[in-house]
Amino acid sequence: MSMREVKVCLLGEAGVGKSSIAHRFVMDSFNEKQESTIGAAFMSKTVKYNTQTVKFQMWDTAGQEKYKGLAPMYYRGASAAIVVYDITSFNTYNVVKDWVRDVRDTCDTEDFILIIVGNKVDVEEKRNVPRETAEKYCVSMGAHLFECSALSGKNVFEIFEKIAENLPSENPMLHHKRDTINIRPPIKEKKKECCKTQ
Amino acid sequence: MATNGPHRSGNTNQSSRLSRPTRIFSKQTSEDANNETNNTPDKPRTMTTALYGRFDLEECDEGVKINHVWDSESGLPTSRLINEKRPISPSAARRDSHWLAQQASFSIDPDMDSDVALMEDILGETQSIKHSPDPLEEISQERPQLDSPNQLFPIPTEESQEEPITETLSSSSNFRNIEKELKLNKKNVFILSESGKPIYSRYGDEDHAVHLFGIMQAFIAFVEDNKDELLYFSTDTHNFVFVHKGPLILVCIANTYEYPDQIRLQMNMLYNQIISQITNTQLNRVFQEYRNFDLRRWLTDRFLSSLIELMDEDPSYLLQAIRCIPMNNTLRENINSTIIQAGNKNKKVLFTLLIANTRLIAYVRHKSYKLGPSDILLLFNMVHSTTSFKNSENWTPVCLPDFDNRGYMYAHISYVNETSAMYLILLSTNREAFFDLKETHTTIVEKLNSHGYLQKIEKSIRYADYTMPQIKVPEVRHFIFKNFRLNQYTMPLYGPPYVDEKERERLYGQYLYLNHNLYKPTRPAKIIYTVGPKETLFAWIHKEFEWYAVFDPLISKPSAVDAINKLCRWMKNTKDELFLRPATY
Repeated sequence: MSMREVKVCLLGEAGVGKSSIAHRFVMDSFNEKQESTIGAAFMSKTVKYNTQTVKFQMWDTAGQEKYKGLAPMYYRGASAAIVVYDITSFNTYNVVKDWVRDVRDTCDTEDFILIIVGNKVDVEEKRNVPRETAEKYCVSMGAHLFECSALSGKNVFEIFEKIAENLPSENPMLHHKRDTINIRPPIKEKKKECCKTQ
Repeated sequence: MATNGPHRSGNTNQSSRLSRPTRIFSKQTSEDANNETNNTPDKPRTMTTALYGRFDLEECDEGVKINHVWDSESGLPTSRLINEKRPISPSAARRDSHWLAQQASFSIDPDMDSDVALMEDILGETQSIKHSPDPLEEISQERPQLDSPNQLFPIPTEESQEEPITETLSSSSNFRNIEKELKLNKKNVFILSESGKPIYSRYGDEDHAVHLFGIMQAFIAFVEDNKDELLYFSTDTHNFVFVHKGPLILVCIANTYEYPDQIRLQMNMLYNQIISQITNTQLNRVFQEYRNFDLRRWLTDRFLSSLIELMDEDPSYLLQAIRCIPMNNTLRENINSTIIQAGNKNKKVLFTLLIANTRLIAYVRHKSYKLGPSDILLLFNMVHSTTSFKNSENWTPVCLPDFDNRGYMYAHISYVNETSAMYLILLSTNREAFFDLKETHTTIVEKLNSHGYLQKIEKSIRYADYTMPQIKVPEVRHFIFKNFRLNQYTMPLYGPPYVDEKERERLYGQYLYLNHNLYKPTRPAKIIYTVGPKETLFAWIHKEFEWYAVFDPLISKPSAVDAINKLCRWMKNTKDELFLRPATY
């Protein structure tokens, strides 16, 4: 059975529940008094899906404005981004569009998985962002939409399942290339590699 | 009691309820005060100050020696204290009387009891001073506005502007709440921008304090118009301390044992905590471009609140020193070598700190760089105030103002394991180095674990606190010892009678008093020995250390000195366990 590592980055406005989603997924717990994230938190979790094991390496970024400059560093190497908004606040939904634009500018590959998540469906009565609006936008951007609740745990695991499902099948060409690299390099290059890794 | 807060505006000051007029200190006045005392002949180096008796102690290699002792008339150590709150040194009393002599508007409420006695005492002394040529008096003639509190409280501009402002103040219910809060809380801290934008208030919503901010700004602007800097002013209950640094104004209104200089130090620490989040360069630039910028968007409030709380009781911030976990020297060396080995593998780590709660276990630095104690204290506070660091590995930019206030360092902060209070901070200047530092962290933790050092450290943490009976110097109730070279300090657990919070706070007040007298710009003391009603206080500053100790009030001087010498010997023998020496990469 193969083990795949997936880098995921959680983005979105401050206070929408990025850390809560991450904690729900990694520890299956919810903290009422979740503090605002400082910088970024790195977490990982290994999950089995069908025949493959997927190791999620997650960057839970801080939503506060002062950390915005650092965000590209986290989503640059990622294969999936989860942009979160709060369904009770239309403003946080508008910010999603900025995030999506930034992410698309940097990671414009076909394989890149973009997921937009409306959090806090447990307070459905205070909803300000209609599902249809978000859905329309997602279709236009080629993104997947989820509405979840980190508090109740509803739909949280499904987000990550979706990422696992949509992972590009491992490219046989890539394997081939790797093999040739191993065979090809003269001694000199090997040495260089050694130095790099040290 | 506190009737003359800034919010009262001018009229309160004319009322007779004022027991002691407000004293205002700005940079120039305090410099003048320095000059004044510089003219007095130098005191002998080893002289001590005591309120009701004088003792000459001499520093020698082994410790302290009594030269000769002469008490006040009775020949006994008296224990009457003029001021319950804070013993006043003779020089401070004299300064007060200098100042009182100039107060034309001075009046006393007949209801005041002990304070009046003090006032009268001082006033009696004042008569003679009043007629002698006094440098302070000349200053007061040059700048009469500053010395009269009656004129300072109104907004210091034209009369037309003054009235509407008082009106808004009295009509605003928010303001009344603030007024209540100001009196209720022992220590209020406000931060605002130069243009009066609210940034932070310790209690309540800072937006509700904007009226107050207007007045604070006016105070500062008024004094700065005279090309001077407002440092603080005091009423009989509160100190109002102002720090105008860069584009920010920090104000502390405190009814605590702290002295204005000590509060200033705290305000500077707070300023540094702000800088640690956004760098000095960025702070200045943003306010140059947008004078009205709302800095709250960039700040994490809880860092500031937690720092203020820590500073209220933790001597680290007063002494600007770090407290370590005492431990066996070989264990310390083993930890250091483990950290160095892991760090040498990738050259990106600049500093590594192993910490438990707010106490240092190990510190390894790059051989050509050094972290100051204030920077390390800021890092402590950052982790102390954030519980969410526990569940993940964290990567955050942080500016260490003492190291370099222009740019960020990047910190990998992660706990050793889920149950432990121990965490590692790895610092690098490379913002992309997370995965390298993550690897270093893992290597360190694995190695510490596999050699069994982790358990040993956990054990040291459990037994980190020692009590006075363990040291076998029963005469000493409590002490604080700071090592200057290492910028570290040590102190035992608070034993009886300092077991309840009130007594502990009072003891801390005594330490503040001693610290103030060791560091005050006018006539700093070298050794202090003071007999009070509840304890005998001792402080000693030496080029290598700083020492505060508390004894039983009835202890005789020779046995106090004996006890200090005993402690000195104990300190010499255990210094390798108590203090850690930073290792280098």
